[in-house]
Amino acid sequence: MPKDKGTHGTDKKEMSKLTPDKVININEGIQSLLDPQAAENLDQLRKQMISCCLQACDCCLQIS
Amino acid sequence: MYVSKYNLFIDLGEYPDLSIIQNIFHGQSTVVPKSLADYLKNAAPSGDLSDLPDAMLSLLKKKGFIYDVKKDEDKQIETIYSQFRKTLPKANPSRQYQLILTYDCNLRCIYCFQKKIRKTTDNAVISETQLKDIFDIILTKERANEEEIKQKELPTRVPLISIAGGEPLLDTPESKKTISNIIHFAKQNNFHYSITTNGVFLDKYIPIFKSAGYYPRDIQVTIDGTKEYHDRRRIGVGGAGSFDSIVQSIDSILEEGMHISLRINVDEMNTSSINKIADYILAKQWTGYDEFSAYLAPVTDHSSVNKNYKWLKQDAGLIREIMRMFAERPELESIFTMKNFRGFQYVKRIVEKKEKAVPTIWRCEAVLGQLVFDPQGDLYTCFEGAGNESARIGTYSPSYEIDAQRDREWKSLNAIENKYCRRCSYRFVCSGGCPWHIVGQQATECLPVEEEIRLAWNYYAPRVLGSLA
Repeated sequence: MPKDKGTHGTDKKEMSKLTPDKVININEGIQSLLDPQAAENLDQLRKQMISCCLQACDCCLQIS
Repeated sequence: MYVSKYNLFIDLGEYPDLSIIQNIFHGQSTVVPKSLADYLKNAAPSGDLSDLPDAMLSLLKKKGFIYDVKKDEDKQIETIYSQFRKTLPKANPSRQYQLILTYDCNLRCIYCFQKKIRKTTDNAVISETQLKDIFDIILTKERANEEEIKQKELPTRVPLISIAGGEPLLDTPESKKTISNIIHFAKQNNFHYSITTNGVFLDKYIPIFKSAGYYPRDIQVTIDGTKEYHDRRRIGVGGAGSFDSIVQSIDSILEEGMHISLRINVDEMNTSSINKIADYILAKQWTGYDEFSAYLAPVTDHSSVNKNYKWLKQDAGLIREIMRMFAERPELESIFTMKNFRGFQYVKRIVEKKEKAVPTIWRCEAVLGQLVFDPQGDLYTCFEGAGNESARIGTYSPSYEIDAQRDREWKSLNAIENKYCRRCSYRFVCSGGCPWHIVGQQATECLPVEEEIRLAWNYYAPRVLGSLA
């Protein structure tokens, strides 16, 4: 039986059988902190970004 | 559904059945079966994910790889920008001030970005009157910053005075007096200060640092490989090499317990010397000092003055070669940091520090209100553009005047507002590239960020997958 190529050229059956345990986290993103209604999240987000949002200038020695 | 345009799907050469999905807006990265990555990549234009089970859809949504509608992602981007803007004081959000004491220099480096400017400024140096004006401006800005920080309970950081040139540490009494004045000003006001120097006369300044009792937060010195390479690239005015005197300065500074950032400018001419300079650093035992760090920096030409310099590479060739060397000799990675290779650094930060990768909204201090003072009495916001009329934002001597429109133009060169990059998927890693490149050349430099990220994930894949197993 030929494989059913499904909507995007990938085996439809294989896609339908995919389970969440096949997705393994390397790190968390900040998307979970982006709910503007949750003040606590935003506070955490700010802390997270303070040191990283501004990066070092390439041309000289500025260290953020 | 909407598949995020910031998803990067990375095939892993050594693991043909796996891929990494890296969202380069909010930073989430995961390992997935390659078939799923391919499916999502192909589904992006239509948003049709009907083959996936609900549990998988819900997980991908939670991870921010897919959204109900594009508007949801746009809203997140807006939120992050507005929230973070609120944390910055207005008078000078960067809290950094650069003093170009002179455009004059005792070296004639073959790739110098200031070579044209040096010839037109008559060896001028910042005068005592100008220095006083500069101190007044810094104090006014910082008082306003402090007031706003206190009033709004904003996060704070220590202001930084960065001393640069030309060469700021020339072997002249005037230079020494100016440096001494700046150090005392910084000490009095509890500001940090740092110095970017070629290092030739650096050890002659140690008595000044010591008598002030206030050491620089950092001193950046550059060597371009071992003596044989360095002395062909960073040449003294009379043609002599500068390697030996710089090395002597580094030794003395480290002995005094001051911080050295050793920059190694790399391009196609000297890439092959990276191994040798690593050997040299190890032989000198510099890495044994806590106050020592070294980094590789690609030579650039944002000022467009080195068009005939044939060793520059615009594509990912340089990083590819460096990563090949790292793979062959992993020790190199612990000797050299790679902060100027932003795609690589982005991945490294995730792998090593296991921290959330956040979008870079502001590329550098130049787009955050930094003030750069030069000996002509002119004001800039970018150190690299200083001396160029197109980069100038005003004057500070004899009077303080800012061209509001130019100032605004610089400040708009962030990842959100920058008109050149609004549609680009990589804008939250490279932030539009060098803003001086945009101002001076009316074009973005378009760095090979995507390839750097792909190379970096492939380089780190065995480590990452090993730790997940």
